[in-house]
Amino acid sequence: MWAYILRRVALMVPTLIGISLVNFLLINAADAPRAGNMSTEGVVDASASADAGEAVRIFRASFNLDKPVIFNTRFNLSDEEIFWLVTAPMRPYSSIAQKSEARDTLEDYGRMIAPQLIRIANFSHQIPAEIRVDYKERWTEARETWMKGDRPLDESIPWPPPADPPQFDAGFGDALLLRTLDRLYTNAPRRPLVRYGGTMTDEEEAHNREVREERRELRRIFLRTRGETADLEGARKDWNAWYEQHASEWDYSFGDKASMFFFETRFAKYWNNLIHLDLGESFMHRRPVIDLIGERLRISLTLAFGSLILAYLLALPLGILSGVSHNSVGDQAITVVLFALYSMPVMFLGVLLRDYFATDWGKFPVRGFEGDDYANMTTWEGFKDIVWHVVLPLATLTVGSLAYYSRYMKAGLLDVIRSDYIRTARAKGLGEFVVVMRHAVRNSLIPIVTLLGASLPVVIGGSVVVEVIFQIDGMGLMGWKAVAERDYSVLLGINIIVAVLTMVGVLLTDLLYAMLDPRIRYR
Amino acid sequence: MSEPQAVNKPPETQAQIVKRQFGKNRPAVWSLYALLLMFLGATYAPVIALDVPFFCGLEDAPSFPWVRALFDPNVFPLAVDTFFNVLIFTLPLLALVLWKAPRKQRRWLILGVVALQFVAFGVLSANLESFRMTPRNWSVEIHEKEVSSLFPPFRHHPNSQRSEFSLTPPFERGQLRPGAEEPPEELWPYFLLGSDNLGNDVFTRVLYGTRISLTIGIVAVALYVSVGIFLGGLAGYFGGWVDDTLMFCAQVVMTIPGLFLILFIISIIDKPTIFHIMGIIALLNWPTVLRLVRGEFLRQREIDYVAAGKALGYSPMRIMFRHIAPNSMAPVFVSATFGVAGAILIESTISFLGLGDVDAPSWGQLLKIGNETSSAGRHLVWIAGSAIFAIVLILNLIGEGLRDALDPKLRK
Repeated sequence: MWAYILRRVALMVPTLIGISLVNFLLINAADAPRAGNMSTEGVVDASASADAGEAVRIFRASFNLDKPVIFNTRFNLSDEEIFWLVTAPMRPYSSIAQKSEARDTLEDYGRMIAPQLIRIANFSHQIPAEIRVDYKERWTEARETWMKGDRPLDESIPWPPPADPPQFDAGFGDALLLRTLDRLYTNAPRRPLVRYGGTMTDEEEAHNREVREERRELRRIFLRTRGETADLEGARKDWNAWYEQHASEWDYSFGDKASMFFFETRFAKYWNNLIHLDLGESFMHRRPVIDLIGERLRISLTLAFGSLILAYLLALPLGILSGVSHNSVGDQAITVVLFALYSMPVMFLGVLLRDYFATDWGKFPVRGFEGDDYANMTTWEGFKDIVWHVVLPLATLTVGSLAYYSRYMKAGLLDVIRSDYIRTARAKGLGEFVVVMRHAVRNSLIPIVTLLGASLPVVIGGSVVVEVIFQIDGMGLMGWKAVAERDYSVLLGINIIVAVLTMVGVLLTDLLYAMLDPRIRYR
Repeated sequence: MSEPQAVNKPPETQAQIVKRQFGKNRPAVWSLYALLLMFLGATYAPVIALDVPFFCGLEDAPSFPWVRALFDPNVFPLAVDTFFNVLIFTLPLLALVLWKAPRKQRRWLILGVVALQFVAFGVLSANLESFRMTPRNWSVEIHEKEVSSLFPPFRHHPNSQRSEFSLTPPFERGQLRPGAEEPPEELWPYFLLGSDNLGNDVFTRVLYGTRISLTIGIVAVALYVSVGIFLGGLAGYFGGWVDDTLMFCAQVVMTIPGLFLILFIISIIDKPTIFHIMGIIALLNWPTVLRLVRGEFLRQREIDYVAAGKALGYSPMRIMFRHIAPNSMAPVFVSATFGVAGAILIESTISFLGLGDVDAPSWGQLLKIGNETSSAGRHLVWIAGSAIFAIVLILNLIGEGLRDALDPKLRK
């Protein structure tokens, strides 16, 4: 028995990995819409759209979308590449898309490219020969590709595009230096840790103090590049001094590089978070998702299991009744009614029940899972209160599966009743009641139990609609609200937890099945 | 040489047996007729309800504006509507072919009409701009100029938004919101099934909503059934790691509770259209077909005709899809019928949750409005809910009938 359970649990692991993979793919597709804070001039002023940019950065960082997907080779970035990206907005015929792509790429690189940026700032007035050559080649190449295509809609691009690559003169040097320093100011500062709904350890507090100190200092350097008395040279010196202090940070050993290559990626971070049950924080609720789900689990499980139990309690007698009196008027009536209920849309039934029994009749609560003063009730009163609130939602959720189960039960019973051992039982002179209840029903119960596993995802999914109609604050309602707010952490967390719940449910069903049916060996 | 015929009637084909068995199931047959009626209603919706006249005597307008309105992107911006509007003209052709064409050419003629439908749809959708008319209020202009005209029986557009008449109860004269300007008596609108919160005629919306529901149901199911047959065929025929991989994928998709996955997927899409919804439904349901087809293939590949095919040197693809597949379609047909009902349910659930295509007048959206507008919108709940209920019931009854007809054990 234990070996069987162990084997089943082990079999759950690949499925769980598959489900997490699906969610990983989805969260990768959920890239933040970045076009919203795109300025036509690219990154001229680092603080212009700073707030919007910061929001996007936080979003991307929280899902590790700023990291490469599977392998990270960013420790290898060359000065030329960064140079090409930094100068993207300075090229007269790069389109808006190219400019913002270059800016996004730079943004994603974050603090890692500080050494490259410092070097670019230092040689901004005397570009090294190899970069000159490389840059000119890429320039011609880009221009040729661009000229092959149609003229883009971007009106800011001059036409025909100038054939000459930029002269690396003093004007170019100044512009490049300003750009590079701005980029340094957006990329280099670390960001303080934020813990919603949790207290920070002393270490984290100390870290945040240090980070804030550094940010203040860098802000001061940044301000030197602005205004009437802008002093680019001075700012460059300050940045160099700052870099001297922190240079060891970018001094990667082979081990650092290897761990960065494999682990500083979306893929690795995602799995790491999952293994640590860190489902992120909801920006809508400003709290960890796992806590939010934990609070709502009680509600959602009550609905799901209540509905399942209710469905079985009602479906079995109905199915048996209808199977025993096959083709009688009663059977036909039950069949017709159940067939109609089976086709009944959950939301239609739910809205009707709520409108007529709660809103009009007023005997049932319209919304919620418990009364307002639930906290002050005794256990028994609280239980009654919840039952009172849950009657209509449960009825809504149950009707569909009820019809399904009882049809199945009837079919199963009809199958069994024709078999030989039932004839034997009758021949022994047993009463009809005993024949049906003791002999037939027991065997026809077995297929019904397998249905439980298959219908679990449906029941759990169905709770979304019911929770929305009755405004019950379970996982379904939270997920539904999260869609409008694009709160992906909540959606990701709910999807994973719900899938795990379903798998546990299916496992329990299988065990129940194995216990009920002696023909099944625990292999 | 000819052998003497023992009976002068040729033996019944499988199709004939199924047809005969299906015909014995009265509810299923009625449902089939009801579905046909719904389909006709959906196709000929502009004949029943539209606010553009068939013809009119206005000097500065086309004499037959209705025909032009059918392909006018101002009037019908959705591709689904354009498709059904083309169908208005090709459906009589199809009926003519079915009725009059000799048996031998029938198949080719039907294919021809279907091809014509799609080609015409493609050509027209590419040239919708040339049908664009200046938007105007035909009723008012015709009333003012006092020229002759003929309108469809219900002068409503599914999205006419006469907000001064919002939430009129059914079977009553349109109820004007207090303070709104009164229209002349002849132009006072009549809302057969009432109006919604924006003042759209509910009957018209339900009528045009049939187009959306049927399209989503049929296209989504066609999509996932073809994917399911292909993958299920591969899994069942080849077995081994192909089978293991595909079954694993199916297992994963089936374990995730559908509606939560839908929430996640929808949140990623910027502005969901009905084509997204179809894709999502297909994505969630292909495993059911895969499992069915796989099981059938596992059974069929042991039968001698497959061995014969192999001995003749047929390629696996040919054996799979020319020989095994036609023999294993029966359960797929049944599952597809139930699948259409399921797809329509999922679509209305998505619209009910307010996550669907906001531009498409779907039934779920109407139900959502009814849900949000307390007792004044109760007729919306009843009408939209009954529409969904009716089509699901009809499709389930047909599915039942088909299943019983295909099951040799149940033959009488």
